Amino acid sequence: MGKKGNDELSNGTFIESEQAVYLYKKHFRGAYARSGAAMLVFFFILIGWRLGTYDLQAFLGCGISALYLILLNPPTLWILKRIRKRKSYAAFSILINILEICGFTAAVYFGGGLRASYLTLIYAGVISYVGVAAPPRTTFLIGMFCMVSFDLIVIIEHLGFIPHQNSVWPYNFQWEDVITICLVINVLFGVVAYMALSTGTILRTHRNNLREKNLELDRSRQELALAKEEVEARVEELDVINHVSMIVNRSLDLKDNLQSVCEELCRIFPVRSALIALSNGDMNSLEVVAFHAIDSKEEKLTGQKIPLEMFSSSTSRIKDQEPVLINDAQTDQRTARMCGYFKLLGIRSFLIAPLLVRSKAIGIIGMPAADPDYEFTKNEIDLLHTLSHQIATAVDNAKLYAQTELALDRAEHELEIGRQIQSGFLPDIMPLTPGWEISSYFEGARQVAGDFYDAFPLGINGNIGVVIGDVCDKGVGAALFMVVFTSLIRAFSEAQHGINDCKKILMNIVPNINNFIARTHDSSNMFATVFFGILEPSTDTLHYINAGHEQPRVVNAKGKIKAVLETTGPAIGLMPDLEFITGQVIFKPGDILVAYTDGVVDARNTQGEAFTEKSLVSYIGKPFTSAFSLLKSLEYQINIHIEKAPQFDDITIMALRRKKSLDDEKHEFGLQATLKNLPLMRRFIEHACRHIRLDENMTSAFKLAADEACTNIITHGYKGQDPGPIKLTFEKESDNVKLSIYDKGRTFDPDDTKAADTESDWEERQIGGLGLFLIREMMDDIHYEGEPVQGNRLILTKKLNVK
Amino acid sequence: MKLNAKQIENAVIISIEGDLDAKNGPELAQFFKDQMEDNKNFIADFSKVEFISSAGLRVLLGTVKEARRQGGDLRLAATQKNVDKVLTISGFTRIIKIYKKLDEAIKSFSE
Repeated sequence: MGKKGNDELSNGTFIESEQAVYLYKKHFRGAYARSGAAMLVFFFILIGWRLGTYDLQAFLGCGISALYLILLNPPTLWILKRIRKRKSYAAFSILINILEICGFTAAVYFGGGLRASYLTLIYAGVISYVGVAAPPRTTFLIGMFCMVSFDLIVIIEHLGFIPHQNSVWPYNFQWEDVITICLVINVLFGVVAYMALSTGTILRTHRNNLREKNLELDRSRQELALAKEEVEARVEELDVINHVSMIVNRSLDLKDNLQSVCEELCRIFPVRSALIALSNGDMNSLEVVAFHAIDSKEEKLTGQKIPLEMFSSSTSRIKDQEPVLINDAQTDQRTARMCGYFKLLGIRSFLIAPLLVRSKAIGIIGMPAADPDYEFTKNEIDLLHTLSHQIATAVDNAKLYAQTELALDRAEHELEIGRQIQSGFLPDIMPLTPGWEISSYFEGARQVAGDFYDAFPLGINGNIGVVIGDVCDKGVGAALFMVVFTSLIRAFSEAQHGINDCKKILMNIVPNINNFIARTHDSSNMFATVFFGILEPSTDTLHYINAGHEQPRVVNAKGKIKAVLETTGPAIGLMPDLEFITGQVIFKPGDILVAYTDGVVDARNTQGEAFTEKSLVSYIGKPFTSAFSLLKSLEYQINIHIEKAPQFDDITIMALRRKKSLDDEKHEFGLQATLKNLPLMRRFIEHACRHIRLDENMTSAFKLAADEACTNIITHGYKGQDPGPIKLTFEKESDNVKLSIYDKGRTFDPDDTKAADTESDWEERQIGGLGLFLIREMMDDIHYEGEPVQGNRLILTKKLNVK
Repeated sequence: MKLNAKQIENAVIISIEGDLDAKNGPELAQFFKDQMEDNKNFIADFSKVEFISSAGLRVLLGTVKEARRQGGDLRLAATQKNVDKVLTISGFTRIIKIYKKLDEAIKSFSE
């Protein structure tokens, strides 16, 4: 029995169910074909009998054989269906074939003679072609057996050993005829049988190959589909992870982010809601910080505390750092304390993932499935696991950020207090001395630094001590030493009571402070550059020691720099017993001393360029009506230079001016007429008012009036042209204060404008003229001089409250 | 100038920090205009406003008119002394409700 030919039966002891179905189908088809063939034989013989070529006996014999062939099928099929053993199956298959051959031999016998050979041929061909469960070689042998039987029958018939069954047929062949016919028939049969066998085998092999290939392709396709699904799932997962990661890192507002994450989780997973709860340290109680439900009507859990047993330190799951899947949250021990809530909402399947930071749980993500009986897939659990890491990291980052912010805020706050205390050591208002004007400008750096300045009465002759200094280095240390220096200067100055000689006073103070600092604070290596001057109004002389400080300049009334006050000694505190000498400068009317710290010349703009001493000298080298005016002008220029760059060092400037007369009190400030400069104009007014000691009411009145007037000039006077200059002049006379505002824009007559509406109800209320109305309300007198060529002048006067 | 809007139950609190002059006026007007799209009741928190000029008053008048046309209102709260003075002189105290404290202004909208 061929092994190769019958691959359907070659493996294993038992036939697998799929194979059995296939074999049965094959047999069933074969049964159909054989039955058909038998019917065909039957009809053929029936017709032969009717035509008289067969006698009744032949017909009945053939008919019974055909019937036998047909009737053989149902029981054999019935049995085949029940055979599971391979060997039995093959044996039974062959048995069927033999039984069929027996039947057919009978048909041949009864049909008789050569005509039966055609039937045999057809039948054998059908058998070989349709095949049975037997190997093809067996089929071939059976066919050969049929053929040989036929030859023998013909020969025996011809010899007359058996009676000729078909008496009707003229059967008078010679031997040659019989041999020729047998030979031809045999060859024909052989060819047909062989072809049937080989084509059957080829076809079968092909078919099997194809089937194998198909199966293989199918397997590959399935594998590919699986791989594709996997890839798609991965891509989607990555997408989700990316998206969630983007959300959690979008901003540092934690709650907002987590809320978005919950929404996203509801989108990704088949859940009814998602919540994120964080702990405040212990994992026994968690606070829900974000909650989102698919059904917007569902009660929001945000802000609620939830007890979760599984996150007590004793449980092991948290140590596994894996998500926890609870199949029935209503009965599970771990969620026992929440079961009321779960029962109420009909929640059963519940997925929980811990939020872990450095292996420590800081909270959880909780998601009840939309379908209570839903089983979360491994992929979903894995995905949540990945996401939980991202979320936990984001939470941690946000917390760290908040802590840092808080610490920074605190530090900033402390520094701010430091700055305030520090500036408290600096005098707000300069002492007044008849015929002299002292003004100062101080702008503290972002961090505390060590600039200081002071002005105070010294001695009994109306002398004034003037100090400006800069402690080396920046920061809190410098600020502390700045306090030490100012206090020492004041304390040593107090001790000079009764001494008239300004040089002696200077020599008593400066070298002593130097020694004190150098000896007492030796280890700190702190020192300060100080310009210490004593103004002696009786002789219009300023005596000074310049201890390593930036050289102050003296500008005369015409705006020429008449003196540069060089250093007369080293910085204070470098080492004990340093040598200092004094210098002096005599002031003419209108002379202004300008002293400053290095913060001025080092002031950087956004490009890192310093303001430089050169520009400082060029800006102060102009005639000024007052020390205050000079400082305001310089402040304006420095701020234009700095723009928005952060200020890293204190900026301190002091100015001392000998007035031209006792009531020489005129302060000027000129700048470009733009809305951007409006606050600077108000600032000038405010400072000028403070400088000349006006009260708060006067100050606010002038501020408002000046603002309204300047706004008019900016928005109307210079309308439709490039902004021109605006100059504010503030003068204090014996019984009134006069603010003059100059401009070169269009003239306008304040008397022409209609009166402001301050009476009607809101619907009819008109806004026009309100600015001028306010100026009139604030001021006692308004005077306008419109001068197209020279420029316009608006004079606002307010009487001083003479007590 | 710093502007901040905070939605409360019946109104929006607009906190203003800075001077209300011709420079900042347009910015405030635009801010109110933007808020007007979704709201009609406003409380302007003036606790950090030290200065107001006619340009600032113009913005307040425009806003109060628009708010009332929509059936809402603009009310001021916690005005400083100098601002109070200007509001009084210009007759604004007669057309705009001004409250000493922010709480009172908030309460006024829930009555």
